[in-house]
Amino acid sequence: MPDKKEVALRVAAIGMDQRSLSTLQMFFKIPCRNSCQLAEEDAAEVAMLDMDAIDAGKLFEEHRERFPDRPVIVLSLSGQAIKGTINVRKPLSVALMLEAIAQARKQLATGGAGKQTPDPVPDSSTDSNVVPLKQQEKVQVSRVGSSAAAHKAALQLDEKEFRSLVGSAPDIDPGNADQRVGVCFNPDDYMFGYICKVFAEARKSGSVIRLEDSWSTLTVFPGQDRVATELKDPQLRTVYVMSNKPKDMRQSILGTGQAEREYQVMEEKQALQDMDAFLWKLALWTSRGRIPDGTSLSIPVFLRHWPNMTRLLLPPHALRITALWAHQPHSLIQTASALRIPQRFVFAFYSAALALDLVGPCRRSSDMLVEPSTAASENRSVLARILQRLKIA
Amino acid sequence: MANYKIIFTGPVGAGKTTAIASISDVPPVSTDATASDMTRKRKNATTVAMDYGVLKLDKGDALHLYGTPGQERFDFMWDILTEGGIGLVLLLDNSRNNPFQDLQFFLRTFEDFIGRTGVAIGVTQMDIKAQPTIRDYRQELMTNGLKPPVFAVDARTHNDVSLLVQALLFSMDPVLVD
Repeated sequence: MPDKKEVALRVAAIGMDQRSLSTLQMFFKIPCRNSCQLAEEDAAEVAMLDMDAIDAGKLFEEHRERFPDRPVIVLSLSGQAIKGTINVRKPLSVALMLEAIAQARKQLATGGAGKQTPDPVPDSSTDSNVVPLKQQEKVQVSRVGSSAAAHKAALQLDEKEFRSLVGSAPDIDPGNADQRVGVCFNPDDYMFGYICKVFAEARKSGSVIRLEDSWSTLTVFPGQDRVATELKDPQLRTVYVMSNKPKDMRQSILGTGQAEREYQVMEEKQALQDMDAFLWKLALWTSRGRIPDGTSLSIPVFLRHWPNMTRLLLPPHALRITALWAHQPHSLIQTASALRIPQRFVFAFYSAALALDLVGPCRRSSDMLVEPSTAASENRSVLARILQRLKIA
Repeated sequence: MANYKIIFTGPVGAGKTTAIASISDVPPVSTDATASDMTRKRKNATTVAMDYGVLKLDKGDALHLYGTPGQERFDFMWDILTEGGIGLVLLLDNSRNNPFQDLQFFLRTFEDFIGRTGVAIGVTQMDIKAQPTIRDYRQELMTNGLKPPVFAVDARTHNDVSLLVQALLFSMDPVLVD
């Protein structure tokens, strides 16, 4: 908690766009309780740089040259230390920022950055993503339970929200080979494929596996069915979906003691997620309404088990698709047709359910559309009205 | 005006009263009384008659939500409660000594009703005790030849309870339009 009598530290945010400046301004004002404020470069006491921005290195050098004694707070995803700066690992948190500000004040009191090598802010203290204030409030509320992050309730997306994830690709003609190719993806072309293999390996061996690259760290705890990462969903999506396995990714196995310590730390940071929930959303993000290569559009799909839907990111119509397949196997095309929904929703759901081994191709020849029982038909309008009511509430 | 009902059942402390409260349109009527004997070990108050909540539908119709009393000595009421019901929500407390025993007990007790309608299973208290997992429940249910929806549920959370009831409805009629 900043001292109310303390004058706000003047911070120059170097090379940041207007949107970032506005966010920072709000961040300084409310969560950080005015412990610092934005200032022009010449009037500032401290500089702040986002090292993940383009030209950040050049901007840093230029600024250092002009103001050699000015403390510099460096933000980065990797948290990599730069000598003579105060390093803060993103995602930015109030605690980390206040600690960095305190260090900057200390440097100023002792004559500036050029006079003293500051202590780096420990990476391990990275807390929650606090940039949008509303999100920060939600995060704090969710901390009532120690495993709140791991058991975050399902987010049910409506079609409009989901479109932003899967686009709006039209239905295909399954008889058209070119169109079929267009809705397929190779999991091995994405991090998703690699993560699937790592999860399988961890579950088989029971080993705690850590994946590290310059952007992120992911630790898999198969014994607890948890995966630990400090990245929030938007960052995860960027880092894990846009690229294949990074060339500098290192995979290591943690010893028992180290694994236990790591688990405890990540639990305290609310950085643990359910392995299935993690893989499910990664599959959805990667699929973007497509299906893995080799998936048949005509062989009926059968459901092994219902997904644990209260703990998963749910695409539209997930409940209906699941219920249909639980009732009777249907091909992907038949499913979209029977439920009168766009194929991409079925494809996305299938990709996610397949990642958790909840569905599989059915070898039986039954490909009839489901014939609802008389009882079901009689109750249909009642059930539909109840459903409508539940969704409104 | 038509009336429909869904039955919530499960052992003492599984969250039936709370689950009904989380989706009911009106403050639920609960007949909890101070618990004694074995029940006190699980919770201070238990439902001795039944819980009741309601979800108002259009045209003045209503969906009544009935919770069975948790104590077995009131099981004579269960048949009466299920009469005319459209489905069963079974809540299980994962922190109890043997939740599979509870599962089997309730599946047996409501076997006919489940056969006529459908069941969705919510497992509560998984944050207190993670084992058995949802996967374990699925395997256990396979021994009964059943494949119903089984979700981890926080009975206090509207979304969890609502999803469970939606899954029950869809499992009874997959071609329902939502």
